Amino acid sequence: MMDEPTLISQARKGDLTAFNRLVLVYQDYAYNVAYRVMGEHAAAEDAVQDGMIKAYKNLSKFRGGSFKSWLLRIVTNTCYDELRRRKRRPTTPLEPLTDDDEVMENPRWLADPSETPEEFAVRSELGRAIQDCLNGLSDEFRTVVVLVDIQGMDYAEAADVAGTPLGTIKSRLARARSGLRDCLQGFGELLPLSFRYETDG
Amino acid sequence: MISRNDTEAISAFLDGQLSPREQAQLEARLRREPALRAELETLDRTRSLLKAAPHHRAPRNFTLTPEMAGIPERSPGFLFGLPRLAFTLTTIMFLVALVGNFTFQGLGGSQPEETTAFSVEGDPAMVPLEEAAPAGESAADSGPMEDPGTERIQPTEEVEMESVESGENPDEIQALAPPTEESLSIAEETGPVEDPAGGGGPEPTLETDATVEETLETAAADAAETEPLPAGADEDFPTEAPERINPWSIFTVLTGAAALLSGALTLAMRRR
Repeated sequence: MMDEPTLISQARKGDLTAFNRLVLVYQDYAYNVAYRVMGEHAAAEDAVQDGMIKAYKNLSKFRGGSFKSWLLRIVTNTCYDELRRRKRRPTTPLEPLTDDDEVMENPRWLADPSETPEEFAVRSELGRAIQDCLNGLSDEFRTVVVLVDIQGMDYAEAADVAGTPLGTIKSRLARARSGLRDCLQGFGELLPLSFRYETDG
Repeated sequence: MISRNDTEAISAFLDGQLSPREQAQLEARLRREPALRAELETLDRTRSLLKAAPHHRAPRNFTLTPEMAGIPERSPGFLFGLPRLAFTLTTIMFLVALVGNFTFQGLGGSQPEETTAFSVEGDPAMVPLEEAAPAGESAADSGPMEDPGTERIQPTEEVEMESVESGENPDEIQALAPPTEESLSIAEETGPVEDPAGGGGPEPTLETDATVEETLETAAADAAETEPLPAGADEDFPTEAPERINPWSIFTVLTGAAALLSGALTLAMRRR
């Protein structure tokens, strides 16, 4: 099993197989970020695929450091490009709809077969609530909170992926969390019991 | 009222991103200000909610095809086709060699031939004694009892052959060789031989001498024509000639090895 530096070195020489091994390592991570930023699965798939193609063609520009951060930056920028394009030309989401004509947050084919129906329901409700609130943030604030709070990056790594200074990450994150808090509190009793905000008297 | 700076400080405090001095200052304020503590609690709850958000696995693999990567499809090229052509040809030749090998063995082409050291039939020197010896010859004068037709001359020839090989004079050989029936009968007819230098006495006839000389010459010629015996071989038993080499076997091995080599080379280039 080759290590990452060797795979990167081989990929830079044009070895597509080596690059695809790297894709398999990071594709789940990249897809989750793309989905949270784009807000829908189909758009997230396109962003990830386009991002991987751009990454392969620009391997010569990788100067070392965290390949994961470099790859996610490309995927994130691809998401921004699509979001800016959509703002110029709004589109209708192609997500499957529930019986109430609402976008299905977690399609069945994405369900984790190991969880119980109750757990799936909880996860579905929470996921829907979070995504709805994320969609209400600006693209830059949404990206930062996804990288730090959902993907678990530290400030430095998030700054590297987002391509912004550390101080900007700190302020954008605080404002994103504050906005999500206000949004999620609005869901109130719709949130799962264990995730409800406790209110004083 | 919580300011934006306070929210930012609390948010950084939750992530451990404050300096020691800033952290100490904020902790002191949290002990004094309940609103600040409430802000801390709600932001912490929001952070927990986001961490609990479901993670979506990639619905499919996003690996790239050569077409996606902009890599043109490589044509096999001459170098790739050559080993494959060689493999095909050598395989066909190998099969032909196998068929030829089986056919050759089926026709008995590799069977060794048994030969004898001495050929008896048709040899004019090997004249049965009952024909060579004149009629009326007494048995007592003919030497040791033998079956009619026995090649009484054989031991003489052996001695003569050895002598010929060693380069001795055939005339001297006759003087040393044990007398044969034929020579004895001839001697009886001609009588004792007198010394030519001393004169007197009847000299051997030319006809008799010619017959003896013919016998000696024939025996010497036969000795020269006979194949030398292998070292350690028994002269009385037949020996086997060396086995003929089957060219089809050699061809089969060579073409088989060439087919294997070209096949391995084709596989190696295909995997590249």
